[in-house]
Amino acid sequence: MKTNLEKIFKSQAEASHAWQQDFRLAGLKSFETQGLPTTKQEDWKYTSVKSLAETEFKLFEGAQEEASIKEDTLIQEEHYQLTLVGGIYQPKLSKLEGLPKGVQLLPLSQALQSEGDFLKEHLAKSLDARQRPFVALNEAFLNEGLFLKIEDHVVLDKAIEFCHVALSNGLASMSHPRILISLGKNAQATFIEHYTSVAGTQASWTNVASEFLLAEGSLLHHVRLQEESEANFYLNSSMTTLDQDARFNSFTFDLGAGLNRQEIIASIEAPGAHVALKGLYLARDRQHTDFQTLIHHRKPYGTSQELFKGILSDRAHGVFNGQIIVDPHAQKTASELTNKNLMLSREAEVDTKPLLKIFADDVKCSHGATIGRLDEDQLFYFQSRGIDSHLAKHLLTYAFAAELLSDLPWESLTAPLTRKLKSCLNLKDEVA
Amino acid sequence: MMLEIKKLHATVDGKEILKGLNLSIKAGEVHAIMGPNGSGKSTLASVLSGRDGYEVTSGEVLFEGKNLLSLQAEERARAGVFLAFQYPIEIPGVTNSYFMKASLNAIRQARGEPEVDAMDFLNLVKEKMALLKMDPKFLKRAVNEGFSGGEKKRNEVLQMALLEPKLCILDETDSGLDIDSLKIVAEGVNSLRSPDRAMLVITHYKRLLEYIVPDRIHVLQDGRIIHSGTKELADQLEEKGYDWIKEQAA
Repeated sequence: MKTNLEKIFKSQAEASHAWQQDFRLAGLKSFETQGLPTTKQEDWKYTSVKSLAETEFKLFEGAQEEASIKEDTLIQEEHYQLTLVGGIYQPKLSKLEGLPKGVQLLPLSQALQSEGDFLKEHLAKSLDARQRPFVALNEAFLNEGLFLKIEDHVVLDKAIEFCHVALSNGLASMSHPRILISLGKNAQATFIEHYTSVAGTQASWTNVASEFLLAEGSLLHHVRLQEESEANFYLNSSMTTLDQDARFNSFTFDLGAGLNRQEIIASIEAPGAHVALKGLYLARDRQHTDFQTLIHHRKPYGTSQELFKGILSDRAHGVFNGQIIVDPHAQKTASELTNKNLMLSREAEVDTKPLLKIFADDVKCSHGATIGRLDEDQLFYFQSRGIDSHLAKHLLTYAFAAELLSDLPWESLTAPLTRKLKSCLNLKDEVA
Repeated sequence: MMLEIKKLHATVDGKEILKGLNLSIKAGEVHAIMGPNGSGKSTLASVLSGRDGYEVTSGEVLFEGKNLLSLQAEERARAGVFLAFQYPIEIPGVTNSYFMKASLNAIRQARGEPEVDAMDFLNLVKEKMALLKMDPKFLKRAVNEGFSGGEKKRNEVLQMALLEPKLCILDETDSGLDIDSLKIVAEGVNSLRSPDRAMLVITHYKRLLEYIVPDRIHVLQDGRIIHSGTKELADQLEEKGYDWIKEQAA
């Protein structure tokens, strides 16, 4: 990967504003300085990027193949949609019409032209690339992605779906989408990220970096579904900053990619903000899935709840590294962090480390992690009622996961996500 | 003969619990097994229902003349063996309604009967619930999750009523029941007594047998049946304990 990076970098069209070109160059320099992470680094201890490093990637060159991509939307209801294929914006697969006043939803390439001042002021201000080589690389290839800006007090009537289709033609390709969302005071929105891929092509690599800026009293519901092909690499770093009384309610559903690594950070920067992070990861075969989460309570009266569940089968490997930090003056913080893993095979592996770093003395925080197998008594109960052990195992696995799908922000999401879960577990639709 | 147990020896974790147990039950009969703690009552129930962790070292069990021990737990259930658990298992995330419908259809399929659809199932299960004075809201709750002791036992008998097994094994169904629940559960069980169904009622106390009156009572002691009698035996056991039988048997 490293060998041809500079060449690929130079092959990009020059950015239209000087600051943008500087931004990219700084990203490239930062990446080169940092180098690729190694398993000697604490937060990369269990995740090797060797296979990623050994693959020669190029930027996707939009051939006509995108025409063959059928619209793969997650929700059936009317919604706004912005679609990238191989990292390239697809107006025909997007629905941006009818946006209410006070809402700007644009492909990032357009926003870089028309919203340059705003972007210059906010881009990469919360998500720090200095300890994150892949975020630095994302900066180096700043070009496309999603820009959403909602003015004060605007409540978006429909959900927004960002659909990213990974695609390689010939050589392995990479895509570095960048997302910036800014919610004004008391604004509300539902944002769905959907990562998928076209099967049967070369491996590809999706390297996302996102920043969600939530102003006072705003509310962002967020769902991320990652279901790329098992041949693919998927990296994502997202940073959410919350002003006073803002709320971030996020659910990450991870099914795909051979190597998945997601870093999810939320920073409570004013009193009274609330963060709910939920996640579900299913890994099979030799999939490797790694979640690094951090909720940083910097100010008092913040609350956070985090629940991640993993289901690991075959020779899959899961990593969960969840951190809660409570700063010295972030008194009256209430925080819960839980990670539960269900191991369906003896060869599967999980490394979990929930960690609290509390520097305040008047807080209510708890954390815990479990790693377990299916309960033998429960299986026997099913069998004693005539239900075969195979179906019983799938049902118990489904029951383990279904809790996370029970209170999604957009009701119409429950059905499609439940269907995804059931099809992963080879269960019929009618179940439970 | 519905059930024939011949010289059954079984171990748990290498320790022999059943030591040559003999028992025969005809269709239409209700047999009770009584015995002190540790005599092997629940082990017998577990061995019959096919639970893992119980090793039969010798002897045989015939169900309607066929070898029961060679069948998987689910195959035994489909053949018509039902165990009402002493401690019913909680299954969060799976609704009682789904669980019972899946069970009923698995068993109907084994019998060569068509599956019941959602509507027919609902009508059927509600009818059985009325019998056990159960609120239909229990259908929507997760299997046994958060149920009281009495509710769990009623739920067991509800499943029994729904599945219409040939052989019902009730493992300490009276434990943890107040008198009102006991009466309701016993009524439910009694309503299932029929000429082509056999029951094996395992209990520690006489109390249950006042409501579910057995044809035969057996005393299990140290892994063997050491005494059998009619329903009056329960009174003697209540009055004199188990020691006099032990002495008699010795």
